This record gives sequence, C-alpha cells and structure tokens, in this order.
Amino acid sequence: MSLLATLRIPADADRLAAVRSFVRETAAAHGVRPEAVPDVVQAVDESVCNVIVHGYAGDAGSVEVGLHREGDDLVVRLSDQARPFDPTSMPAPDLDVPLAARRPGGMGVHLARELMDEVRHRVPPGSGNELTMVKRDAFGPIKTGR
Amino acid sequence: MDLTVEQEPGAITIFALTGELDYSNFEQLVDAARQAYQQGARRLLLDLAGVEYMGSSGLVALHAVAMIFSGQEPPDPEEGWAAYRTLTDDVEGHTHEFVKLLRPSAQVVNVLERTGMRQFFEVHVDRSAAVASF
Repeated sequence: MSLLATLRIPADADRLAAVRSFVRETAAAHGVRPEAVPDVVQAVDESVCNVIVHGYAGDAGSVEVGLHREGDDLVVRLSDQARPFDPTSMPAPDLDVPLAARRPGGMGVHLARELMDEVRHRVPPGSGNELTMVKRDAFGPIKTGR
Repeated sequence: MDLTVEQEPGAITIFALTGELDYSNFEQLVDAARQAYQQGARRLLLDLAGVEYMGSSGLVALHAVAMIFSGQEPPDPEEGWAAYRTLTDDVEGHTHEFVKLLRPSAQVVNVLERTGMRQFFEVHVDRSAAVASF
C-alpha cells in the first residue's frame, strides 16, 4: 500500500471544507475515477465530522487523514486521539420506517458505510481511533454500465 | 455557504443557497428560516442549484426548517435524530407542505435518497412551477 498524501487538521468543524478540498485534489492528482470522488469526499467528511463533534466533543485535538493506493483500491485512513468509539458497531438505520421509528443518530456513519465498500475500526496502541475506509476499483477503468 | 433571500407573492420566500452546506454552517440556514418565518414568510422554496456539497448536517437543517414553517420550534440539533421524533406528525406518509426544494444537485439528491429523506420533500426543477405549487 502506497501513501498518496496526508492532511492533519485541528478538531474544528470549520476545517471540514479543507478536508473535502484535500480529498478532491489528491484524488484528481492521482487519477481516481471522477465518479468515485464524491462518494469518498462525503464518507471522509461525515467521518471526520463525527470525530470532531462526538469524539472530541469540544476538546482540543487533531484528526489525520491519509489517502493510500492499494492496487486499484483507494484506502482512506483516519487517525485521532479522541475517546475510542467504533462507528461500525452502530446498527444501520431502517430507512423504510418513518423518522419516529428510527434509531437516533448515525446518519453520517450510515452514509460512510453506504458510500464506501469497506469500513473498519480499531483502537491503536495508546488509544484513540483508526478508521479505515476502502473504495474498491477507485483507480480502475471507467464503468459504462454495460 | 451564501444565502440570498427573494420574495414571491403569497408569502412565498425563496432561499438561494450557494457553496457547501456542512456542520460548520448548517445553523445559518436554520437561523435564516426562523427569521423569515418571524417576519411573516409562510412558504419556503429552497433553491439548491448552487449547493455543491451537502453533508448529513444539511439534512438536519432541512428538517429544522420544515419544522419552523410548520409552526414548531425545532429541537436542539445536538440532540440528534431522536429529537426529530416530534416531527413525525408532519412528515409521516407525506411530504412537507410549506417547504419545497428546487434544483438540487445529483449529490444532494443522492444524500436524500440514501438516508430515506427524499420522500419527505417535494422536489422541483422549474422555479415558476415550484412557486405555483404552493
């Protein structure tokens, strides 16, 4: 797996736009299929936002976004020192029922899991969180749907 | 995100949004809707043609705006989706009557659809038709 680029931001929601720009620009510079980029941008935005809002919850800290290439897959790795929380443990919301019957929270997590092919979480040595998200065939040929 | 306000006859207000709608600015939209409602607006068309990106925070804003135009004060967004249980009577089984969407981008439509929220909003592609639909 080769590292394409990393970005470290303070845990501040005002930096989310910079994160999205970083993902778009890095993806474009390294030849990620254009149709895959919006999914990755949104998954990263939602996941970083969750770390800032729920992980750090107002405390100072930072989030590192790493973009890697593994074969034709784009691998995103988010690292933080917030309290350990595994977003993949959250049950998916039932979108066929009215709002009232849905479990609270988790829309950002749901979107990240919808938009990426794989989402994994682990608590690295020394605590914090490491979230790995994979977009398969992000560097592959353009799919025509035929 | 920038927001410009236009008026149409019949207490119809149009918010034209441009830029990116995320956690850092979604409350601007809610505040603008609250202010417009307090000043007498009763129908709101959200022109989303200029919205280049909308995160899930934008969904919270859309529902808060819909609550305001239904005459209710939206809950604190920090309470999450649980707080939106109070909205059920207005949205269950039908679309919002007083808040409609105009020309959302494919990305915005994708977010609405993937979260099951598309069903709650009437979406228009033509401004005149959207205004006339209220």
